[in-house]
Amino acid sequence: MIKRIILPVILIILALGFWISPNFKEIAAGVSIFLFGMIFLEDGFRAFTGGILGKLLEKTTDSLWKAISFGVISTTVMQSSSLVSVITISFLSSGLIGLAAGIGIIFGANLGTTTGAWLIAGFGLKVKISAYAMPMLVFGAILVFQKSKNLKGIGYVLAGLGLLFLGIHYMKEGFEAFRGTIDLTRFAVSGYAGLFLFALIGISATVIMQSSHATLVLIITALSVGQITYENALALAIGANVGTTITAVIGSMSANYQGKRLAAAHLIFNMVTGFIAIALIWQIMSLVDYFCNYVGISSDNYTLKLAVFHTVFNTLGVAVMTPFVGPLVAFLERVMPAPETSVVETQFLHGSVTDFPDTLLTAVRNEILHLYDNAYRIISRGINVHPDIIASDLVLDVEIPKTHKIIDVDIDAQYLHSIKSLHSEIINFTGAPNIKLSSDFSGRLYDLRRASQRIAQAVKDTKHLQKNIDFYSYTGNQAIRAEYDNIRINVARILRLIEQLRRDDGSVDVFDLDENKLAAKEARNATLHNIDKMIREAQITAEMATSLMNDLAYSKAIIADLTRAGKILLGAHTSDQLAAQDAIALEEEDFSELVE
Amino acid sequence: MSTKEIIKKLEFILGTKNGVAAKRVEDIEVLLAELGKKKIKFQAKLDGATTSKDSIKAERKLAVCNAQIDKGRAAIEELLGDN
Repeated sequence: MIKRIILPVILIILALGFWISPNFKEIAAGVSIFLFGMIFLEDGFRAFTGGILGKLLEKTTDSLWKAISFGVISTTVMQSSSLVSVITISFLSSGLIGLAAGIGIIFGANLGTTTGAWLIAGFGLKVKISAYAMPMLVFGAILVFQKSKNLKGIGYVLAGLGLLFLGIHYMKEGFEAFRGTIDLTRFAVSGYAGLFLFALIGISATVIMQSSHATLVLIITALSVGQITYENALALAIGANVGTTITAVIGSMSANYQGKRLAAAHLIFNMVTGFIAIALIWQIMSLVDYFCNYVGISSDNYTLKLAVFHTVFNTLGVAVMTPFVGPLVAFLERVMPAPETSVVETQFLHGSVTDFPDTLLTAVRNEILHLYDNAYRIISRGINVHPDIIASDLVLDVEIPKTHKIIDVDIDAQYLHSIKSLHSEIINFTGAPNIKLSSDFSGRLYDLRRASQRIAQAVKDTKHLQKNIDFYSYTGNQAIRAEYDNIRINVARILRLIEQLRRDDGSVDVFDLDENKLAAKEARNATLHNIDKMIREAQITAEMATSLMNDLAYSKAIIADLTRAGKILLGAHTSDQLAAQDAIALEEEDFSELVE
Repeated sequence: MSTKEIIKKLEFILGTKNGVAAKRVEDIEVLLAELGKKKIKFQAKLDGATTSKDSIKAERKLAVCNAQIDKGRAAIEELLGDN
């Protein structure tokens, strides 16, 4: 009910404001144009981030200081801490980076965003920036309509910058006109009451505009024309810093628990920094005065002093909070625990991961590995080999024939419960109409879907295999039991190899999958050559031989499916790499030559 | 590599219409380099094998490795030859 009322009320208030004051209209138009500029700028950077950002993040977040530096640089370049925090939530949700690294980036983003105040205070208000805005808008508009993704991205960035500059220009004009009619300084409140009041106004303004940058520009322009006092401007800046976390909180709503933890960390950091800034405001002001005096900023240049203040209190926040990143991570993990790992529900496929191709592909890959974990448990039990044996260093050829105890597993039920539903979710998610990828990425997505299909198929084939494995486990016929043990060993081997590949400890590599396939083929051939002899010597019946031949085919299919899935998930990162691997992969005829 | 081969390869790489194939050759070459290292490792294992079991194991690994290298080289030849 309230939600339905709020928008019309806001629109009516704004319309009344525009009717009463043309200057207010100019300021509001300036803010709107500025916000449009932010949207364009974000779209432009999103066009570039596919692939590049993912690679950068992997390299630059292995230590806290690197993560902080990454946050500073990326926010300085993109001029949007909100965009960086939303990207970070997206990467964290997909499992590409850890929580500590994510927190580091957020800390850095808070420092990086202070460069915006410097740009506006030092450059934006002194130069007639609207003169730069026009050509940028024209060039941007032309480039936006180009087919090339990169040119389009540059177009969006230029248009975004043009709109930002134009927005600042209109805000400045509006406030300057205001100066002649209304003096907002009359509403100035001094002391701590004023600090908290204006901090709250700063929070509200940023929450409404969804951009601390826009609030800060508004503060700086109002300050530059003397519409607000310096002290109140400082409080507004502190409020803007806290209010900006709302974007991350909103962004985290569609993220998983990790994304929510990061948004909480962002909120905690900015709240703590805000309280520190308010508590120590007089000391920080003295520090700012000392610094400005030292570098030659005149004492009445309040706009630049505000920029210095913004940087100082954020630096202070980072300095105070950085030693507590470890405890903060522990605290967040405790109060926001990871949900119980569900074998049925998806763990990585959330709305937030579709923002960037890297996060989407990483999330889909992780989800398929989750599917594989379920398949691993079903297949290993289906062949009556405990998963712990596969995961151990025990020699499979020795261990597997030792035990024929049937592990009770209803593969049909398990398939429906933990494979089919998850596989369907993966197919559904990756086929969603909002997912639009370039050919490189869509090729990889297609490969990943195939891997999911192969895993599901391997489980289905295990069901067929299970019947006879169970049946011949208790037979007194040693010959047929030994043959089924060989089948169990070969299926267990591919499961173990994939586990070793996942550990990524260098003991095996993707090329070993081919060698494993060759070993399985050799074993199969040996059995097939032996079948006639075993029948002749009455070691097995013809009926047993038929079952054995069918089950050899099933085991071959399982091994082939898991090998393929292993190559896609663990051997290649792109469809090009997979194609190169396919070019050297040994086919059936190559195996035949080698076996001979 | 002979001058002729270098020229052939340069022509191939510089031809924009061959961009996809050039990338494929590059990717296969990366894999061949990894296989080359593996081959040396297996050869050393074979040379140092003390039991027949170890020897057979290393021989087979070496055979698979060689077959993969041969396939990779053939694939590159084919990609270069097509142009």
